[in-house]
Amino acid sequence: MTVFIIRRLMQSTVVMLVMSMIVFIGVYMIGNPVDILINPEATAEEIREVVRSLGLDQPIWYQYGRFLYNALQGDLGESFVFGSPAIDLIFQRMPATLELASAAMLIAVVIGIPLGMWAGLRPTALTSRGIMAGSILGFSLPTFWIGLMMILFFGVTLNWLPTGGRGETGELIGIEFSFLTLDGLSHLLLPATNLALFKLALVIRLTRAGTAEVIHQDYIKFAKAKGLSKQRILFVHVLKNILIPVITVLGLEFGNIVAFAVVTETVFAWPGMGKLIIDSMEVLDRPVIVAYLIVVVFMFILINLVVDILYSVLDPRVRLREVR
Amino acid sequence: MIKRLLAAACVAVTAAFATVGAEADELVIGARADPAIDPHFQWLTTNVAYSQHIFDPLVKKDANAQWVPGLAVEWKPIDDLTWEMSLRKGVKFHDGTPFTADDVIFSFDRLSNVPNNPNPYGANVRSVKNLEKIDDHTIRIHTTQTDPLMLGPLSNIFIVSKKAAENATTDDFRKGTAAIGTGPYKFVEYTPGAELVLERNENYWGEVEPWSEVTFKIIPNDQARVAALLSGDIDVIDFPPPTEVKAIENHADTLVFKRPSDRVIYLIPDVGREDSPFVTGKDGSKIRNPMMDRRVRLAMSLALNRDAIVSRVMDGLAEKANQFVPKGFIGFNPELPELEYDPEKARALLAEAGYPDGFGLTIHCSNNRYVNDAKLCEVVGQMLTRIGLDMKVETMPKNVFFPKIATYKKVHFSFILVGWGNASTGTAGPFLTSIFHTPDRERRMGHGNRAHFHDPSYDEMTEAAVRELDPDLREKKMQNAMAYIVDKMIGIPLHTQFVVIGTRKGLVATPRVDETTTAMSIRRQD
Repeated sequence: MTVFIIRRLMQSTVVMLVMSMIVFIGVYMIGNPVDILINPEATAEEIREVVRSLGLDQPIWYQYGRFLYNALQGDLGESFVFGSPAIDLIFQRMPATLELASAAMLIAVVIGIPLGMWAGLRPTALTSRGIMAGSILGFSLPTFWIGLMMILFFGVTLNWLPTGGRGETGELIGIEFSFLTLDGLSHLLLPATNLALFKLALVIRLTRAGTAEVIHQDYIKFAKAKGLSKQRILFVHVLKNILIPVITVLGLEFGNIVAFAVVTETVFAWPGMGKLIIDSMEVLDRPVIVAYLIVVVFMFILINLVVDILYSVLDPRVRLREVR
Repeated sequence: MIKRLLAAACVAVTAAFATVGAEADELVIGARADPAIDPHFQWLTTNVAYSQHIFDPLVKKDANAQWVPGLAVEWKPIDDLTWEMSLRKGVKFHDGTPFTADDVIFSFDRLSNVPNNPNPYGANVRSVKNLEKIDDHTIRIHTTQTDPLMLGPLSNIFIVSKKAAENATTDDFRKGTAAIGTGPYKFVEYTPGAELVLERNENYWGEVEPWSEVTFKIIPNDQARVAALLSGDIDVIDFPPPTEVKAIENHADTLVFKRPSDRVIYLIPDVGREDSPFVTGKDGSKIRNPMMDRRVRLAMSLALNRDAIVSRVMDGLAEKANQFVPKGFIGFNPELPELEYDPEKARALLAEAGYPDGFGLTIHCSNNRYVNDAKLCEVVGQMLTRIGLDMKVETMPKNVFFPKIATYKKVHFSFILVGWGNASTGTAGPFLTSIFHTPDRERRMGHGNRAHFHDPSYDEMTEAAVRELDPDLREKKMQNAMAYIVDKMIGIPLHTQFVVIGTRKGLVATPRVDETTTAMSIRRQD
């Protein structure tokens, strides 16, 4: 298992390297950030001076080489826009995004799995059909539109919940979190629900399909025949077996939420890192774009690894080893 | 939620008993962008707006972009290349240190020494050679050339405390340790991507502000900003999208304040290159660029229904333009007639110029830089199609568009839509010299000449105008240059967009032409 993990991490380095190169060249080809950031009154000399001071006049291979050299020493460059180290900018905003994503996941799992099991156990019941119809809405309506509607309804019309921002935060192990205060929680509720809707629909459908399939398996019949309680059959034998596909998908989706929660973050003015990447792309802030994607790739690799390990915990038939 | 319901109930009860609600002295503003805090890092309108709270410049600008005393109380020319300024006495920085000439000299030196800065403020004072300290409250500014307009951009140069900012990095400003100015508000806290909190400077040298605390909530999304205002979460927002202005106007608890900005949106035809990249014959063949002919450019202007553009595309949030600075700016020529809309005449002019069937042309625009830029692009394309041109419309994000029209490389397009803000000097000077003057590295002019226009007599006129020390003569000369360029129709003016501020009821906002939204322009209704 240790060998497996080390191998995986080594592979990830290669992936990050290739990715950084592609992004670096891609952003370089779009254009020069100075052309966008500098004021229109600037003279050619002033522009050249700025380009030189940022090192953007060097050939691309040299710029990339210097980036790599610095990156190996843990320096991913300074943002052109903020003037701070890119990695700091990302880590400053990461807790907000992680909090939002975790809250959304929690909502999706806590509500989705019971509903999905219910629908799987009673496929013909009216409630089950209602749940399934609802789940179609959940993944077919665009997130930003639902977000805006939620703001209009709960924020503007009813005036129950705030329309955006993080609210008051409390501190836990040196990091600010919204869920620690009542005001923060009220700020978290709408965006987390908004972000959760799609995942919720997904979890419901996966769970339902899994339950419907598992419930007719021989080992369930056998368990029933053995006289096990209904609870035990449901929560141990059924649940454990339907969790594998759910975990695979949720794992990847979690990565997705963290990396690209941008729509929800934008609509609800949530100061997370999704907004950072969009803003940075607008002005070709290359250090931030590259650093951000490296962080995201690393995160995906990590999540995949955790998912693989979880498999082996849930299903003893799975062994972690290299595929030959 | 419970807390909020309770709060709402409390407010209702208090309101029922008190005839005049005793309101808190706190103001919450929804803003579009994060602040740099460091007033010498990243020259952007949004940063200038934030800086005005914590710092002061030597020369300030009023809401109409006209010069008023700031940390300098008066100024006069000693000779063609020297200005003497008397500094305000008795001013103290937020940390209590007195403000002197040393702080001014330090701030000017710092402008070009902020590392990793893609848009340095130094460009505001490019004609300043050096500063000389006469005594603690007198300085002399030596310039490399006669440049009376230099006083205008001084409003973008904020004075920091030498004691606090010596050796400070941009990051130190963001953390607050170096964010010490003389301005009407003091720095309290900044959370990136979330909010900037300021408190009133009780010892301000000018009028002390009515707000004890000001919070800027950073909400870049337009719809989210509007929703936050409508729900009462925040008190003020700037730049609501034009489609939402009606909603704010119609809402019972909110108000809209608007005025024309300093920005004129205009079209630039390529008038100088015989072989222009996006000009073709009707059949797609290469032809000599027809836009070199003044009659063709006049025809293009006549084809534009500016009334329709203002009312339909801009939702009424703009004013027709017939020149390149809005009314109220120095250089605005009141004698210039309105630009008419007459497609018949346009077709006749085209025929007279030898293009009775028109020609092929592509218009290129950004789609996220100016208000409704992509829509404007399409509409201009359609209007020109009606007089017989074979128009293609191409829009692209600003990060693709602007590098392609960078004059220090190569202008890739033949016909573009751009805008120009005139607030930096409050005059037409910078526009006239950078957009239509022949490119001239030595004199630092013509660096924005995307029309490829070369005309020695025009060059002479504009140079004389911006060098003129006498304000009245200067204005006259700028007006003449304006008339000359509009008559030649080198650029085609469209409109001036509005600055719009939304507030909750009970507040009065004074929008500024320079598009900066500040707590200083928000007052309680009497």
